[in-house]
Amino acid sequence: MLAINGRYDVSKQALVGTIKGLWILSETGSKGWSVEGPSLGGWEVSATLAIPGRLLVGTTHYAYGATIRISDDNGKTWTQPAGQPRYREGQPYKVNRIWELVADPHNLDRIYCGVDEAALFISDDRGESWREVESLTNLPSRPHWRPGAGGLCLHTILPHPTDPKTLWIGISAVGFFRTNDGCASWTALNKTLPALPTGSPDPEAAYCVHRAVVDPANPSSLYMQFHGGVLRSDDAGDTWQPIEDGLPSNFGFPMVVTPGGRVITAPLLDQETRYMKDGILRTYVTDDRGKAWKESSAGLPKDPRFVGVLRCAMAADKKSDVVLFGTTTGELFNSRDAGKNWSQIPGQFQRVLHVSFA
Amino acid sequence: MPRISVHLPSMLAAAIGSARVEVDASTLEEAIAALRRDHPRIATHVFDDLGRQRRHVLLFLNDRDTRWITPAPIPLASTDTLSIVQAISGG
Repeated sequence: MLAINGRYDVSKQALVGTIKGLWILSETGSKGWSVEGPSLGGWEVSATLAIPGRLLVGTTHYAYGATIRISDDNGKTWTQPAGQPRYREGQPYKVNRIWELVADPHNLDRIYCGVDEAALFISDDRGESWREVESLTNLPSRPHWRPGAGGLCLHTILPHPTDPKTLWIGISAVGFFRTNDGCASWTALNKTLPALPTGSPDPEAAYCVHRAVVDPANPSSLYMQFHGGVLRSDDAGDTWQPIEDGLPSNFGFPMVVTPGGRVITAPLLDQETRYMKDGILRTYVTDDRGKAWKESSAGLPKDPRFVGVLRCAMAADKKSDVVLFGTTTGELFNSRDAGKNWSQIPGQFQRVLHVSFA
Repeated sequence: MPRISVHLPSMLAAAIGSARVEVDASTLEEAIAALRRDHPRIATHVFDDLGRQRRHVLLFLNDRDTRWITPAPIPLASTDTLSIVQAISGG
């Protein structure tokens, strides 16, 4: 285990969930990052979240199933709360994996949790107990939802930066939804997304959203990495238009937006091969809301790396230009200038599932 | 009523904070019901959301896999132990 500086000595902290436990990264100014871990060895850490005084992760194990874990001592010890995200009695669905944990920016006690099989859960006590958002599960299209290759996963949760009643969610391979009334009802925002066959008999719920982000400075603008498309919405998700000029392909998974509005992606060659073009690790950015993308890979290795970056394995800090991503082969890269220049964090870890900033 | 020890594998012991719990039960069926009722933090790892024993989790009564013990009810004595075991199915 590598040494870590004291919690209050570091300028920034990041959580990295891998298929073999959790790693905690601490930025130490000009010295780079220190790394501590693994915690929760043996468990897949498929979602990570830091809130003031508490870390939460979603753990999954092929034998023992999916549960939330909590640490109130910065990862030294973990507890499994008695309350877990679970469907209400009588539902035919199971919680197979915790995909996403997101703090509500308007309510310090509230956390949202997205799972496979796709559902949204809410905790109003910092993760100690959870309730199913029944309005989502009760949508008429729900019986026709079909999984993507990664499962039937609710992987994207986007609270509106200023409106506490508005939230967007993305489900693969179902679509993109918005609530404007605090999760009481949902509007599907799929009509202008590319129609690709998913096997669902319901054309209103057959859209393979891979990831989406909302521009923090202009919340009507959203960006989406779709199964076969990169898109922008200027009307809070009601309609979408392609923004693909300059990208090597329109297939990929991760997408982040920096506080300054730069959007960063890491496209794959195509849906069949699922590695990067020419086997070279590359990221792409746009500074003009998608009118043009340009490669921004300075500092990334140029030798062959037939890898990918999973949808939750890239994160942009909300308060700085620091960006971090991990690859499917366990390498970690960070940027301090919003993706213009990258450097590798020393070490080879396991397949990176989820990255978040404290 | 006999008090039955339930032994946890190391991964679950670390998650729960204990390597062993106890249930009061006269039969195997009562012991499993008590495990579900009184120890939900453990039960969630043994049984899935639909109530079925997870595919890769075994529950042993002494040295016998409880999936294959018949007929019910199976009487228990205080010297009996239950053990949660991860099936050897990792490849």
